[in-house]
Amino acid sequence: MNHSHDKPGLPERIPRPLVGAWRAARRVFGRKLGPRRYFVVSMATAFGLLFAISALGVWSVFFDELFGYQILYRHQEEKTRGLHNVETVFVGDSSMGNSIDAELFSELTGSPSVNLALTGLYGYAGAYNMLKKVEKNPVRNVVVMSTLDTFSRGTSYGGYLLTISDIADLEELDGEERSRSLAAFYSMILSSGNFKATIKSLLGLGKRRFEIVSDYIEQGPPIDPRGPRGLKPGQIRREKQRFLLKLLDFCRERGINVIHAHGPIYEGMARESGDYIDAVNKQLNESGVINVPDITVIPLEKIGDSADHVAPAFKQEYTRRYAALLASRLEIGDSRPAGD
Amino acid sequence: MLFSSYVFLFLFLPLTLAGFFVIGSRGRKEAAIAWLVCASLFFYAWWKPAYLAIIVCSMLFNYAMGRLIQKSSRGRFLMLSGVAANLALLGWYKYAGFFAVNLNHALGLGWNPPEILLPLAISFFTFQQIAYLVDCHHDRSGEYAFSHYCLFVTFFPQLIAGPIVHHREMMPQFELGAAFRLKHDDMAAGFTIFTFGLFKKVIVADGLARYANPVFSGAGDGLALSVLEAWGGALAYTFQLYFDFSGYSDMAIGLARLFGIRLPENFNSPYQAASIIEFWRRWHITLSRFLRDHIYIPLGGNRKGETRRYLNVFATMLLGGLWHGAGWTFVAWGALHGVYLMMNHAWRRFAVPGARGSAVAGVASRVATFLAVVVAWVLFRAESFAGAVVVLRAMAGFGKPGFSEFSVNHLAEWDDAFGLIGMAAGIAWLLPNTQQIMRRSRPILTEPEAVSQRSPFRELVHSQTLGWSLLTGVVFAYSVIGVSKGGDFLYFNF
Repeated sequence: MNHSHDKPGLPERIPRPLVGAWRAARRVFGRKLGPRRYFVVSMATAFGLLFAISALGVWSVFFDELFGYQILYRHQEEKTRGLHNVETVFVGDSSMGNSIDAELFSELTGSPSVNLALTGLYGYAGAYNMLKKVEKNPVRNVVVMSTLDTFSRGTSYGGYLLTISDIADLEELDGEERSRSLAAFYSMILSSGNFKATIKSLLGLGKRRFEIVSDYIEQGPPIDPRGPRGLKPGQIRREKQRFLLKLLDFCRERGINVIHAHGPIYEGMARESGDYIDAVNKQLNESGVINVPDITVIPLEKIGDSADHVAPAFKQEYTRRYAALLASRLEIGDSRPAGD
Repeated sequence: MLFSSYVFLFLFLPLTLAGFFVIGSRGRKEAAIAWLVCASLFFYAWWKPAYLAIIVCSMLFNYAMGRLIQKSSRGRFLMLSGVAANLALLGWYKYAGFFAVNLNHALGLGWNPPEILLPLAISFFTFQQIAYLVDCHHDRSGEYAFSHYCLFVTFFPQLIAGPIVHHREMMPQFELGAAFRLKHDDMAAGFTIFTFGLFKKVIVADGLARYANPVFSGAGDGLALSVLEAWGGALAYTFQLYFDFSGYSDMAIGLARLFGIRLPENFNSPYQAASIIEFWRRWHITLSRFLRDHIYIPLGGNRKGETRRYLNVFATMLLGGLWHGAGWTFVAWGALHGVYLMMNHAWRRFAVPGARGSAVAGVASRVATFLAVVVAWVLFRAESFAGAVVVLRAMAGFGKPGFSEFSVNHLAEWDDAFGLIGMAAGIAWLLPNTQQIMRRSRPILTEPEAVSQRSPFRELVHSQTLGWSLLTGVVFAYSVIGVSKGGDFLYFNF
């Protein structure tokens, strides 16, 4: 019998260095602690790690381009700095970013336009903050476009904090909104998704940087959107309007014309969501926005990398369709009293 | 307020603990209890303040009723009245809509039943108080102080989803002055057990939900499932439910321990059971105990012959199914388990003795029990009978091979799913459970079952070493960063 491996659980033919390492690890990690020290060490480990992960999250969002969507945000924010004589501003999510070519829209409608689309992550809160950044321009129309299931998602409190120009902007929120924004933001930077992606990116193991192509994030390969169930009226969350209403108030105070349009969506999804669409339109009409109730559908062959993304080859076609849908609702050229 | 939320972890819990021990360390035991009751009511009201009135009125009523029963000569009448009142409250909030809809459907009455929102935890606190009233009648209950009674009902670690505690387990602990002073042993054990539970809930259960939910939603919409998808969805849900609920129970046990209180065991590796009878001794143990004591035994138990015994088992499981939810799929789930139990009792009575005991028979019985439980969970989870039939048909082989279009588009990461299911299965089948790992700290009121001597993991026992301490901290941090994904506890619905 071999007595050289005196600890239980060690097979006999393990190489000597490994045995040494194993014993050293047992000595270190098997060291007994009193209950007080045990508790303190585990708490210190937990909160030390959480602090480090939070710091990494904040750094990735604000000081590096690791938080992918912030690349888009910075791209759009950059645009707001050089704007001249823009009449129509598009704000909304990726359904709009992938279907509106602002240059073509300007040509078609005669209204100089800019597309400041972010993503659903930023929601109406992001749209609201983007709009505030173009305040100095003589904007006449704001087109808010969001994908169909927007109203079934929670309020985008995190998106608010990601897009504010100044920390003093928080003063416009009430106490509850402020605390919810901070909590949502914290959960965003502390999320396992952000942490894993940041680590992968730092180690060069995963692509985190999005490329901007044709004024928006480059799409991935197209998907087949068949399968998901339609949306039901019961899924609508009324509080979703919170930042849309702020955006409306902001525009009313400045005499800006606000139009809400639904982003394009896979036709099968639209077909299955009739009651939901009616309920959303009713809610939008009650909010006072000029609502375009029509749903612009995407047939299977024109779907991009999501059920609400038009494939890049059809972006111009959809811009034309939206121009036709929106033109009569826009205030263009001298249609407003001079000096207004 | 969820245990797995930032507001609970970083605000509510530290403040409640600090207040409790500051008050307790000054020897003001009653004030510490009052503090804990207030904190528990705040915890409950966080969800919907309006329903605070229901739990408060329920406590006042049952406490007064209990005292009356103890003093009155008409104790039986009062006890039955009290139980009826509790059942009426539960019936109104949980079952009125269900019965109205079914009566409407059957008789074409054209009623328009109001939508009644189910108050959180009503099934749990009602059952605890029914047991109290019954014990008052049978002189098995002491004359408790009102504040202690309130804490017994509202103690936040177990308020929302159990374990369903018994007053005789809790009240003596509230009497001990030592429980109100900070003890590092309790803090160390409580934090470790809580961390195990948080990991089970946030990482394992919520991870599995991503695969189970689309399958059952798709089946509910009538989408054809493949055999692999159906089994993947059913297994994902089987392990999701276990890790969700046993994770919650671990968190409850860990939280209570932070306050120096021990709770009863609620899970004992149920998927390692070798029979359905054994499964119900290991799954939601405190509910099984309640159903046994307050339905099965009063119905006659096994004292009135074999036929009555089978009928009693079936009736108990049928009501157990209805307790889980006001829906026919839950009733069917309860009925199916009733049939399983009857078959199991019959097998024990009539089976050839030689068929039991061998290693092969042991494995076969574990596999058969597990498969029977998985099939039943499909009924439990399905959104409708039609949806359950879609899943069960595909599981039986009447589905497409491989993955359907539905799956390719929406469950593209099935590889991950089966990896996670495999990990969950490994933990549930092979490893000792939390109580067994933590047995040196006496985590629960009873002694945990000993780990089999044949288990290769029998030496996996927690001790207060640097390694366990670091591991606990790392697992806690890892679980907290998973919290942002959200996800309710499944048993909050019951």
